[in-house]
This record gives sequence, structure tokens and C-alpha cells, in this order.
Amino acid sequence: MSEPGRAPAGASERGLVALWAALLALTALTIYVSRLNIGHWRAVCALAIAATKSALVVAVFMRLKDEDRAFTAMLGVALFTMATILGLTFVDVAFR
Amino acid sequence: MTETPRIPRASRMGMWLFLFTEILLFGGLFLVYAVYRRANPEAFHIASGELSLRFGAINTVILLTSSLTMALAVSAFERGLVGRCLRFLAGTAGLGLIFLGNKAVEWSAKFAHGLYPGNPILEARPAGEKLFFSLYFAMTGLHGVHVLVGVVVLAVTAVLAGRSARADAARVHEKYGGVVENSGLYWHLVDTIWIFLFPLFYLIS
Repeated sequence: MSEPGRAPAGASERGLVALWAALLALTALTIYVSRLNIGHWRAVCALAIAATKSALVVAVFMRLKDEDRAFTAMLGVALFTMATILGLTFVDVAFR
Repeated sequence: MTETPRIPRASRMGMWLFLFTEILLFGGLFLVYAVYRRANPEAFHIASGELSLRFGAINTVILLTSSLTMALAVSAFERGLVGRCLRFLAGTAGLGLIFLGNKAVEWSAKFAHGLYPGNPILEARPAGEKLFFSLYFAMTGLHGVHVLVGVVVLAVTAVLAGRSARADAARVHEKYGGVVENSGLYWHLVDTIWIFLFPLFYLIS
């Protein structure tokens, strides 16, 4: 390992396969939920499931959970920037 | 076969910084999508019904599986199993090409029905539906370009990883050690973007 005292990065092969199975299950779930008649909650559920799936990919496949806090902070800045742009745009659009 | 050292932290951090620019690139398109969908909920609903959920779902499974094979390739490389790494890299690139093949079939069907910007059939439709299909082609198109670039990156990665199987392994690792893990980061990001594209285009009808 390039950093002394650091545990080997990444999940075991078994762990990677388990995550893949979980991602497929969430895909099936999001298709199922999209057919329910629950109004605007469908969009909320679809985005929540997509956010969960991407968080799992980022944490395990991309190993963010094994990185130090600088990486998480950087991702936080990027997502905060996106959220600010989205938020400010909707403040504009909603009150036209 | 010895375990290969993990790439330096700075190299991974540089890759993440590049990925953030990609998030903001696609973020701009997601923003346009959100604003126009809010303005045209009914039209987006109707137009989305014309996309094939089957194709979208199959491509989702293909990309998720390719992310698994990519992660397994990185894992194999770090344990010094270069042959196993190369097989997983080939599998990942193959799944990427199948994804693009499906996309080509899907787009061809839309073209055959005149559902592309500029065609009189689509131009006669309500503005919201035209916006939906323009965004569909722009966003899945930009994503498809990223998959194509990813396949090329994987091919280059395989060549460099293959060299490390030879005698001068230590020097290759020193020079190109980051290539396998960093191309993996790129591939997973492209998968992550599709995770959002799939519900936004295929599941809102």
C-alpha cells in the first residue's frame, strides 16, 4: 500500500458481487414503484432510489469509503455547487 | 506474482477532480431537464411513454454488471493477477459495446418514427414533447459518447496492464500503476450518470 499503515483498499470479491446484486434489486424496485399510482411520490421515490444506487457505487466501487476526509469534502463541495445552481434557478423560475 | 502497490493518493485525487467537472457538465443538462419538465409535466409524461422501458432496463443491468467486472478487474490487478485483470477489462469493454449497440437500435427506432429534432412529425407535436426528445438525444447522446470514450480508455488500460505482466513489471507499475484504478473511477462515474438518466427518461410515463 502506498500509505503506510493503511488497510488494503476495496471490498472483497464477494462483497463486490453482493453490491451488484443489491443494485439490481434496487433497479427492479424502482421499476415496480414507477407503476404504482402514488402521484408525485413516484418521482420522489425514483430519485431517492437513484441517489441510493449512486451512493453505493461511489462508496464501494469507487472506494470513497476507504479514502480520507479530503475526498468526501471535495465531493461535498461539488454536490453543494450543483445544489446551489439548481436551487437558485428554481427560485428564479418559480416566481416568474 | 506479488501484490502491486496501490496508486498514490494524489493520482486518485486528480482523477476525482476531473470527475467533478463531469458532474457539473451533466449537471447543467439535468438542470435544463428539471426546469422544462416542471413547465411541461403532461408532455414529458406522454413522450416518455414512447421510450422502450425494456431497452432502458436491459441497458441499466448491462452497465451495472460492467461496473462489477470493472471493480473485479481493479481487485485482480492489485493482487498481481494480471491475466484475470485483462479478462475482466475485456468483459467490461464488451458490455460497454453491447450497451452502445442497444442504444443504436433504440435510436434507429426513434429515427424511423420521425421522432428526432427537425423532423416534421416531431415538429408538429406540442413544444413539451419536442423538448423531451431533444433532451433525450442530447443527454443519452453525451452519455453514449462517454461510454465510447470509456471503451477506448479500457483498451489502452488493458495494453498497459498487460505490459506489467512482463519482466519490467516494477517500472511499469511505477509509471502506469494508476491507470487501472483511475480508468475504473471514470467507468463507474459513467455508470452513476446512467443511474439517474434511466428513471428520468424511462420511468416517468
